[in-house]
Amino acid sequence: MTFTDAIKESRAGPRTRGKKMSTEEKREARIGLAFISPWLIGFSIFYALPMVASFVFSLMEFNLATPEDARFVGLSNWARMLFDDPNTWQGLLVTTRFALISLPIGLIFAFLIAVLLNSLNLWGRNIFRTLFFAPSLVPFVAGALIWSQVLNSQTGWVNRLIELFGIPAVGIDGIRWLDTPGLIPITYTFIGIWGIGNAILINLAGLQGIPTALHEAAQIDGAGYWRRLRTISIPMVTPVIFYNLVLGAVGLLQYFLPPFVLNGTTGYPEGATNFFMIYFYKQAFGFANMGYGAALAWLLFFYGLVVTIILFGTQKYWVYYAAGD
Amino acid sequence: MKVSKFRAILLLLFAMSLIATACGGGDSADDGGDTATTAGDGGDDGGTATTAASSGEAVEIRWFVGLGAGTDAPVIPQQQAIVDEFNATKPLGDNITLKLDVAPDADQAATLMQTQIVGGNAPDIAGPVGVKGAAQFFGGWLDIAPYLGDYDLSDFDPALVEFWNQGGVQLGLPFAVFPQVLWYNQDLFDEAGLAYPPAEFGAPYVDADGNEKPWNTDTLRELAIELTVDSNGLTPADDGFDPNARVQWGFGNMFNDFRGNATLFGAGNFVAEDNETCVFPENWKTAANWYHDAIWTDYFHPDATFGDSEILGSGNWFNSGNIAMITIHTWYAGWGTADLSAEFDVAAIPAAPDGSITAKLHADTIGIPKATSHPAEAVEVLKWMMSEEIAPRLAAIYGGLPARESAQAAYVADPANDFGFDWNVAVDALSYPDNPNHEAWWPNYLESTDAMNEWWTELTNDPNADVDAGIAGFCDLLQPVFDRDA
Repeated sequence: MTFTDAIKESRAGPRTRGKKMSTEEKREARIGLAFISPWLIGFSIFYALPMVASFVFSLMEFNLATPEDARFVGLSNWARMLFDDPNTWQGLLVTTRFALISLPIGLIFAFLIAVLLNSLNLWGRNIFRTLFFAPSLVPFVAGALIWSQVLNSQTGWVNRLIELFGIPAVGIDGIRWLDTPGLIPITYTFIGIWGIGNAILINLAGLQGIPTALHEAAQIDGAGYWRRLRTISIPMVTPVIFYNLVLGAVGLLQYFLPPFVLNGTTGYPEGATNFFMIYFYKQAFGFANMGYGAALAWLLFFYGLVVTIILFGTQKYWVYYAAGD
Repeated sequence: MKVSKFRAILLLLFAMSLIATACGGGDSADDGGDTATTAGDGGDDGGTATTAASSGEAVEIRWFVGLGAGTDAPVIPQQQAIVDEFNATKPLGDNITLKLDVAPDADQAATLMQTQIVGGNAPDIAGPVGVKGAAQFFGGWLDIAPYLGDYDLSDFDPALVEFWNQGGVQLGLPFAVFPQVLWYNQDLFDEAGLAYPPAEFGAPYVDADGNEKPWNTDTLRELAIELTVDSNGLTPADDGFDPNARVQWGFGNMFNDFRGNATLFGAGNFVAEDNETCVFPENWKTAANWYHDAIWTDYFHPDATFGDSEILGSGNWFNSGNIAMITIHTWYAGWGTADLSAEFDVAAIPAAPDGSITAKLHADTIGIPKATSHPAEAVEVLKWMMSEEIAPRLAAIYGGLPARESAQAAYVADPANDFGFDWNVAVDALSYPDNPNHEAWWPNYLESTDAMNEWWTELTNDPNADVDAGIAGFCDLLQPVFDRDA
């Protein structure tokens, strides 16, 4: 009996408490565990144990420079983080607000570009696919540094291009992309869109996985392009969209590199770049308060867990799995 | 084990893996890269440190570089040469060897060293390091005083030796000093028909017509305005000057935080003598307004936007050739002006409005982490590095004047240390150090510095900022940070 057969058999009949595994079932189980043991061991060593360790650190006053002076302080790091540190909530607010702006734009943009790239009428599809994917290969730090020059309000070519249309953009009174708090989410979203090649590819793969028979049948019944897009393409790629949504949400909660490269840890302007991970980095590595940093990391973990659970809870209302749940 | 419990455990592991993967952050790029050192293993033999050398057991002293200068490519071989000389000549006996460990990235050096300390692989010597770098390891440095014995300190300025005694811990000995001087672009002065600033501290400024005026911040401002030009050749004093079209700036204070900038108006600190209470020195209030006006009213000081742009060398303003004067320390020598085609020299720091002259000082040391396994041997190696023969050569590697006073004259006269400017100005600057130092310890050093930087960044990036209100609110911001250190 194979492992798959064993699972099927165990599902076929009612479960009986106290039923012992047969020798064959035990052997199959051991083989299964053996196959996944490398991953289990790696997970234990590089994820589970460090997570446990970091939780312990969150209960300690632990400075990297003087580890011998580490001492247990109970929940004082947690209390400070939750009740006595406005930066915690500001960080979560800035991060969440940015995610709410950036995530929908990124998802919609990636999907629309994928739809365009999937069009049979597009000349040079492969060239365009390469062009859209290429920026995601550029190291993000290098890209961020380039963008800081491109978006420079005095000398950057974006503002100079806007000026050609008669809109005052250059200079102190112009469009200060990286200096105006209200523009920061837009600016960073704009920078992020440059690197959504991966999401485009995934959406494209999802679109190409839709059985053509569905489109043909709909066409025969008189459905136009937009109708088919709305009623066939989009529902069929909802699993892909959901995948991008979950990964995108978790990724945005850990948003760090662009604000760090462009603004350091100053939070300039007016705290608009005080993302949660920036604050975590500042505490853990800037100030070497590893204990407090660990507490912040765990807060982000729980926050991300809640967001992920909510997202998974919504999927039954809008994600269509062709093979069933 | 029952099947249901077995399944429950598998499901639990699977769920944990999903959650951990979802929150794991992906690849090493998000994790900030690896923390491996460049020079191989740490060499910690874990033996009984204080007796290893006396027993003849081989001891390898690992010298960690990166907290301050030393990570630039041209400098690494020079440091290695010093290490090779130590290992070849064996000045401390056959059993003590020295190994160089240069951090691959200066920005991550502190984190790397912290990781090594926590991992039980602390380096034995770390430096050169300045006050800020040392502050990141406050409480983690070895007090070398008990190990100094009858080591002769007479060749060092007592104030500098005391400078490196922090909280009763003699963190190190003065190694190199980097005074601040005024660097000026002679070509831009010639183009404007202006006389050069004085090289002698305390001397007046003599203009092209032979008229004398005090060399102070007012004269500096006047010169800077004349040397600031837009694309139409107009200065801020001319009608029609367009600040958005500036192509040249008159003056800038480079690579400084507010305390460093403000010291142009005299030394000070934000903490009272009780080391607990936040205060805002009066001279620094003047400084804050002066700098804000310099950026947004007189337009001769670059703002952050222009300062980060390519027209000003993406942050290395003087090297761009588009700024006439800067104030910066001598560690800028060499690498700082590598691409500057114009002729340049250094001059005296101008006096503050009250007539006082302050040339702020960076004083580096080389310290020993408390977690070293070989404290005694590390101190002996440190003494060798601080010796009359070696210290000047080491200081030269980093563009610093040797802290040993007897070595300074020879250093200045050595053609090998010619970086294109008059070193005598820098030597004179040593007579005007800032006391308290602009990097002096203050409560909750790292967090206080961070809070100050945020405050100053907001002020200097807002052309309409109410500077006085910002000054008034400063201690409301800093006092809670100080209190957290209590």
